[in-house]
Amino acid sequence: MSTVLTTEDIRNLRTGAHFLTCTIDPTAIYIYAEMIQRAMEDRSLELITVDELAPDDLVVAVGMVTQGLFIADMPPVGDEFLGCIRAIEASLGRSVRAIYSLAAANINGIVPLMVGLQSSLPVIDSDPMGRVFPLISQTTLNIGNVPIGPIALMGVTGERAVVEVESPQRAETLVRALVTELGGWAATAMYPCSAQQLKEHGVHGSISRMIRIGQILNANTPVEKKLLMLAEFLGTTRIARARVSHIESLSRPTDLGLPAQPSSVTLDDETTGRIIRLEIQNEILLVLVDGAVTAAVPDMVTLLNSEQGTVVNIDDVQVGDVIDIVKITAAAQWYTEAGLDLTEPKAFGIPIGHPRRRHA
Amino acid sequence: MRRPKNENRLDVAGLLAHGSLRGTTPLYLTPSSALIESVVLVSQLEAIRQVRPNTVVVLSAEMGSGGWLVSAALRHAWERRASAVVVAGSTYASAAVGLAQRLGITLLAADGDPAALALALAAEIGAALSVVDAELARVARTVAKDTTLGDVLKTISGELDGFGVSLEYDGVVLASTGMPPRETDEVITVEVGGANSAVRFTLTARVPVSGVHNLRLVRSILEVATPAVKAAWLLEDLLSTARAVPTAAIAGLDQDPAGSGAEFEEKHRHLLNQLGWREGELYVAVWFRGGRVQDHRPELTAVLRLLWRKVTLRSPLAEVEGGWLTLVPAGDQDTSTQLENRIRTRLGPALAELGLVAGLSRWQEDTPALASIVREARLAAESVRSTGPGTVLGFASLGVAAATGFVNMDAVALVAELSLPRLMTSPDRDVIMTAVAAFLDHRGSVSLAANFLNLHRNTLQARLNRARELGVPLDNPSELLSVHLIAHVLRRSMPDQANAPASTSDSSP
Amino acid sequence: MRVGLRLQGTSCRAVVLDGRNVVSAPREVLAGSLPEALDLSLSGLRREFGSGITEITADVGRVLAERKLSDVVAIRISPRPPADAFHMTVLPPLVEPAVTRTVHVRGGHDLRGRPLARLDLEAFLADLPGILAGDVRNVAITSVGSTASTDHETRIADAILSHDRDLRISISSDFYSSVFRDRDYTAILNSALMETGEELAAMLEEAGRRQFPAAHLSFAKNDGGRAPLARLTVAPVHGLRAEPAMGILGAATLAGIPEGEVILCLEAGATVGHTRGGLPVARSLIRQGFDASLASNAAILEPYTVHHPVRTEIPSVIADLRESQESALPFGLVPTLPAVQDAALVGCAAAPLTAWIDRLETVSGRVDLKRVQNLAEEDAHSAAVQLGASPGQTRILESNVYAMPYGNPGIVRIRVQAAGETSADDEGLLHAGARGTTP
Repeated sequence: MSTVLTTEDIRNLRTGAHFLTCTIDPTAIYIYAEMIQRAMEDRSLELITVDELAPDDLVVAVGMVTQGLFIADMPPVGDEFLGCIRAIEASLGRSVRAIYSLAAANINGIVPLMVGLQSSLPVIDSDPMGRVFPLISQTTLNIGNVPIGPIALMGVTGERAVVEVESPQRAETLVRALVTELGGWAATAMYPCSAQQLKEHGVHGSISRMIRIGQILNANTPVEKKLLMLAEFLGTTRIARARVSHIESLSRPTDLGLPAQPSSVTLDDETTGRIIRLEIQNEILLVLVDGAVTAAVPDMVTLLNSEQGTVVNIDDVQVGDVIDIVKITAAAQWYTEAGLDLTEPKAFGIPIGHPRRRHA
Repeated sequence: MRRPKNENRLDVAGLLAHGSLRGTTPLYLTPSSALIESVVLVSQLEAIRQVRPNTVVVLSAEMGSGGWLVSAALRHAWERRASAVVVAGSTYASAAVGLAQRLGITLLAADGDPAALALALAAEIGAALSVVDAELARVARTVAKDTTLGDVLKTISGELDGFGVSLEYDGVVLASTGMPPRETDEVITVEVGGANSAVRFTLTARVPVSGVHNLRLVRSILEVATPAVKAAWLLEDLLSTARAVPTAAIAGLDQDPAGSGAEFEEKHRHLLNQLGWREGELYVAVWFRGGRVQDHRPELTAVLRLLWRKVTLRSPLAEVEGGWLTLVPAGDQDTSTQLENRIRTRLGPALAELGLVAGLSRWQEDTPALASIVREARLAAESVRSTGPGTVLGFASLGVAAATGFVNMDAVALVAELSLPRLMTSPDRDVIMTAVAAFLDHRGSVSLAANFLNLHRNTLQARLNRARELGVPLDNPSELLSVHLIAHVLRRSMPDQANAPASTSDSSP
Repeated sequence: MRVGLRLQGTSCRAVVLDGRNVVSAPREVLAGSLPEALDLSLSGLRREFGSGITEITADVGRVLAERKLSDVVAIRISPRPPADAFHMTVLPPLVEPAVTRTVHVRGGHDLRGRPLARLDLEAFLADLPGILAGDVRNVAITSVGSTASTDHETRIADAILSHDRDLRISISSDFYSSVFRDRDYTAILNSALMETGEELAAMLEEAGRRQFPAAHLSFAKNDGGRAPLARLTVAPVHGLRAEPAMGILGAATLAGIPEGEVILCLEAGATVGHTRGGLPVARSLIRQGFDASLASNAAILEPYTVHHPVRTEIPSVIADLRESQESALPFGLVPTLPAVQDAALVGCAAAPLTAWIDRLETVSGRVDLKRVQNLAEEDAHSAAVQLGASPGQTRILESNVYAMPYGNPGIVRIRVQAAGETSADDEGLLHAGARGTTP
């Protein structure tokens, strides 16, 4: 059903988008949420389900692709996504009927709403990741063989490119290279497809889910109640409530042998004595409890402040903090053989299969 | 440190105090020392799931020492009731110590290479094979991924810390990588079986004596890598054979020695085009052949191909009737000269070792027919057969004397026996024939010939007269050519000193 | 002996420290005006202690916060101007009214320090007379990518100064944040505070010269250090919210713990900070909810919670700073310091000179990384020396390298803090124990 979003929804979406990617500096989410709320003062924003479109309507994913730069350091001018959508329309000779988000968390979970306000296009409550992944090839549309191209990119300089490409892996390489030269990020429109294709191969309810998560977390209820409601709504499990005992900044060598952001955090569960270890590469990829794999990408893992139930940024974690470690199951497509091939720990350079892989 | 009651049984505390675990730093020790019955060196986490109880699990250096990995290894080891876990380095393992303590399993940090430690430990408990097997299985997996011989050798060398590794045939180095050999190196050789059982190929590693390397492990690594060496080599040889088909065809088509090169080309134009030869391209042909015709070994083709790669990678080498042929693009005279020099310097010693010679065609500006240059190369090669293995000769350097190379020496000698019996039995035969040959070489000039032989003119004149007395027909022009030929043939069979200065027309060194 | 001052409204509060001992309990002078209160306060101290006073450090944070901000022209350098009103950089509500005009200049760099657009200096110069017409005295300049290259910001600043060399200019690359709006906000706020900073510096300078001509005068910073008054005129923003840092330093100084945990109990609740190398542990941003953060290295002081770990291996001080200490402290805390009235004022008196280097570098490997880190340490060291620290008394407290998340492994952020003391000052302050070999 079509829904007209309110500024309250955006505030909740802000929290939900952050919850599903706890590790990243949320400044860009904040900036966009604020921008969207101001824009909503004189325009309305429509969220639709993919079923409301005609099967062959052209829809396109919009999202930021970044390479080593926070969008916050180089704020978009504002015309980038509209330029990308126009480029896709020119390339395909058809009008885009609706947009959807490239990812269901973080900045790309919220950006499409601003684009919807600017373009007056409806925003579909679907996405091709059901969470956020670092690579544009890590999508359920890719599993469903929906072509990624043509891809339109526009950077802060106003320079544009349309990449005619079929293989999502090649697209990843080409787009990364372009993004670096465009200044560090690019607004993109990709995976142009029919509403029918998105319906068959996408993940649905992406935005409404983030709003609901925000409603739960922002409510004035005790943390335990919030965790219960999340468990009921998302099937989340709390792996542990534990105290941070150690933070490592490097446990795998990187290309240059340089230090990384915090790359692993060890915590002690003081009630049971269990030792929990988080492996992090920009986001949490692996959770070991007493050395046993308890969660692994594509599972989502997020950290909550045990007192306030607020999302904790990895950068802010300090030794001594008591944190709730919450696991969220990803979209079902990710647990198929093809899905695990794209996203299990091995795809991130950690030589470990996902526990749900049958022949692990 | 307490030793277990049963002296035959090893335990962690004992080996830490006196044994092979001395080279480790304990990160966590369980209060009671665990029994040790075996050791495994693992390079994959999953492998820990199969270990027997009371095993020391050593994580190989290639696994890294990431904390998560140590955690997961501890967990698996704990589930299998292992005696201890040994990790490489301890920089990042500190956070894992708590888990070791929680699970009650000893965690040790190896100061050096964990593989070496595992071997020492294995030797101590008499279970070396299992460790070697694990390490070797990993090496085998690694080399199996390589598809070219060069890559395989590189990988082996990499596994051996960059030591020199080479493939050799009868002492000839066919391909090598890694550190250059030194006098003092320990040489470890493993035979690589050829297609037939005449095993002459070896895979050789040169290990510095100062090194701490376990020579037995080096040998084992060479052994497990051997199939990959063979496979890569066979594959390359197969590809080379396929690539050499157009070259082989040229030699095969040219069965009509009387026909000119141009006719040949006219006749087979279509086929030549199909084979990929283009008109107007300049080539130099190179023909290799054995010193003795019957001396043909089937594996030589593969050997020669590997050697040929030291000269050029682009031109395929074809096995043809009577030798091996390759056509090398050469746009100018310099390239052609360089090619000849390169073959001489890079292959000369190996060719000598293998009993082979090489001949090259002339470089010609006016695009000679392919068939002509092939013939030139073949003739050059055949003419130097007698000069001895290892000789490399260009057709341009051939002189008339080369004709003697094509003459059946035994037959000439026989003719001489029959037609010049007195000469042949005369005790001063060699001196006489030398004088005759020099006289004819210098177009009948006694002065020049005497000069050349460092003799007085009268002495030479006396010897020529002696020749006439013995029946050598020096005064009959129609017979002079034959005499000249006989003189050269006989002179070849003479001891060196009789020859005095070498004949200027002889280009061989 | 060292004096700690706190200025607020028309009052001045002072404490005198001899080594780590408070020799004169905090006393407050209230007068008709702030200069008057300061003068009265200092003349009282002169009568009592004479020339024994060598260092005077004033916490001016409250004055900076209570004065009206000056008007500022904000200059933003980026490849293109915002296409619509929504994409304009939004400032926190308190600062927003101070910006009378925003000017866009084409330019900016990427994270590798490569220009994204040529700096459009010609157009800017053409507009400059119009921009500076009227009453403009304060300018803030922020460029995209100025953490990697300060070139465009400094060229615009030079252009403005060559037009009018008395303008107060604040450039964003003086403050480190990877977020444009943080730097923009910080540069604007700094610029808006510069007039007050000048005024305070002049006032302190004058009073100091009159009463203690031989003493060094400084202002207290929010990282727990101090800087000469001259810095107050150019970077007043670091004088904001110095009190929490001074509170941590003061309590740690009284307890003698250069490395440890400091729990400050106030009316509003208990808070926790830490010291390392004799200074409060600091973070490079002051966060303000969903708004832009202030890019100033500030001591971390966080609420004490029920989950607070009790760690016996770390020295700890619990200071009860409440006005009324009749009720028990929360969480069963028991003070470990005898009644302290004003730890923050003690902190002011004890604060060392501090300097930060915080910048991006592009490196090609470990060796290169070591080189740029050494260079940053040298720069921090010489920055502290330039503030007046004696080279032999200057040390590096923190030297960290951070990778930038999501790619660009060759780009690192290097953050170094140096602290030192003037040679005149050798009274054995908090860090003296930690310094070991230097008496």
